[in-house]
Amino acid sequence: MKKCLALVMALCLALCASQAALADMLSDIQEKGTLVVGASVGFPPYEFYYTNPETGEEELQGFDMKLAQAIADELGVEMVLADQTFAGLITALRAGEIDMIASGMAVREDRLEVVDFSKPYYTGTQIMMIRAEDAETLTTVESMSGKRVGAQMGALQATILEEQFAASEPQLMDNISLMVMDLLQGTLDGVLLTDLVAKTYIARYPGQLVIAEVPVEYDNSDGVAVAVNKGDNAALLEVINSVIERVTTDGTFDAWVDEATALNATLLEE
Amino acid sequence: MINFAKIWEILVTKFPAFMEGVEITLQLAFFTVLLGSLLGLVVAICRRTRLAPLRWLMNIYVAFIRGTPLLVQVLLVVYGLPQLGVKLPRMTLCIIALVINSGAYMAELIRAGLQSVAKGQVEAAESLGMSSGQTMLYIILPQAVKVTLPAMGNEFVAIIKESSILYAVGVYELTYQAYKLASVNYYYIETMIVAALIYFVLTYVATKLLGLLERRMRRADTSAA
Repeated sequence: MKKCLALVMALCLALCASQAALADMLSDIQEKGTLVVGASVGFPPYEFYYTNPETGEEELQGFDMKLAQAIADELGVEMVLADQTFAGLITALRAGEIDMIASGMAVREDRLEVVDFSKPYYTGTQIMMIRAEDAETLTTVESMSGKRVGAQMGALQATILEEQFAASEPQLMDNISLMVMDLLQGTLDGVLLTDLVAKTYIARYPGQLVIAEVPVEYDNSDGVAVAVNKGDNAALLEVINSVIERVTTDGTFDAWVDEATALNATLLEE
Repeated sequence: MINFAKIWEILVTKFPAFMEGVEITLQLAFFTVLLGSLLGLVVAICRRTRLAPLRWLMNIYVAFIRGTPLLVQVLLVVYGLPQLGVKLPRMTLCIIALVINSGAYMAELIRAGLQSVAKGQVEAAESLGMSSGQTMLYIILPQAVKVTLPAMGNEFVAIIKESSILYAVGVYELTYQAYKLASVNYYYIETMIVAALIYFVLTYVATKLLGLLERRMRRADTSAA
């Protein structure tokens, strides 16, 4: 009897396993009817919460979110946002908690080992943001040595900080707004950011923050892309890539970037 | 899907980084308990004075600190003080935040210690012609401190654990080191298990050492009696 039961259980297990292997990610998503998108919101103009002045309601804005919505539309499913810290996104993806990452994530070699990326949809420029009063003195990588430099934990900028600014004192944090506050208060002397994000803060604190002349070198050939879990993802990636192909060639994506930047600018005016 | 071999590998290959974190964590706990108990002592004594406004002030402080989350207090101190023109190193600001927090809890512990001293002792001191200050300094405090010491040790263990939230403001303590590693090796769970094990070793050893100290003090009690 016991043997029989064991056999049945083993069969069940084998069946479950083979079913899981058969079902690819695309049909999984379509079956459950939702596309769970992981992002670290609070990264304007990539993704941020925007309070619509007309309705008074909080909306999810930013070009990453528009792209995610377009992918969900293409798949015919509902988009669900999972707002998390940036450093935890890949773990959540690998654990199956989220279906994809659209969070301004740059394609990087170490990331390619654990997840797969779509085609890049955006290429940002990395810069060093400093206080305006230091613009004359902080102009080279050498001038940053011994200075405290901030970067987001687990982000591309953290790698740049480690590799290119080894003589600076690093401070990694989850929250970019806190790092900007540190910079304004003098606890940090520089923050490594993507230019679009830096421009947002510079617009918010005119005359106080500037982009330094310090050259920030990095391999930008890969750009920012959507990440999906390794495994049977060919069909899913095909859909994602086709959406990226479409929006980046017909001008839709550029319009999203402009819209997000403009919306964010109105936020700053208030 | 936990990779157990990886846990060992992370511990061995990244040991120096973890130890750097341990050093900061222990420094935070040490200075917090040292300064926090002094603050707690002052607050506890102030709460016993005849000056009502001072008493109220101290009660508000203790109630406020015990009624708000540590992370919020840390953010208020670390970003609030510089806003008010107090420019100090990040580490110092964090210790100030922890001391302000710990002081409130210490004040409660010390209050209990002060209350535990028998009333007869005070009466005896007064009958000997001691002033209230002398009574506090020579009679009540020594006995109260002895009663409170084990609880202060527990506070040391508590700070080892609680200081982990300082990772959020970029202090290189143990959790920061683990979090930083996990953000690049993508073995989140495995790296956090290593951090948990190290925390456990720290708190276990600290608890044992404090237990020894406590037993040693009890022995002094019996020999005196």
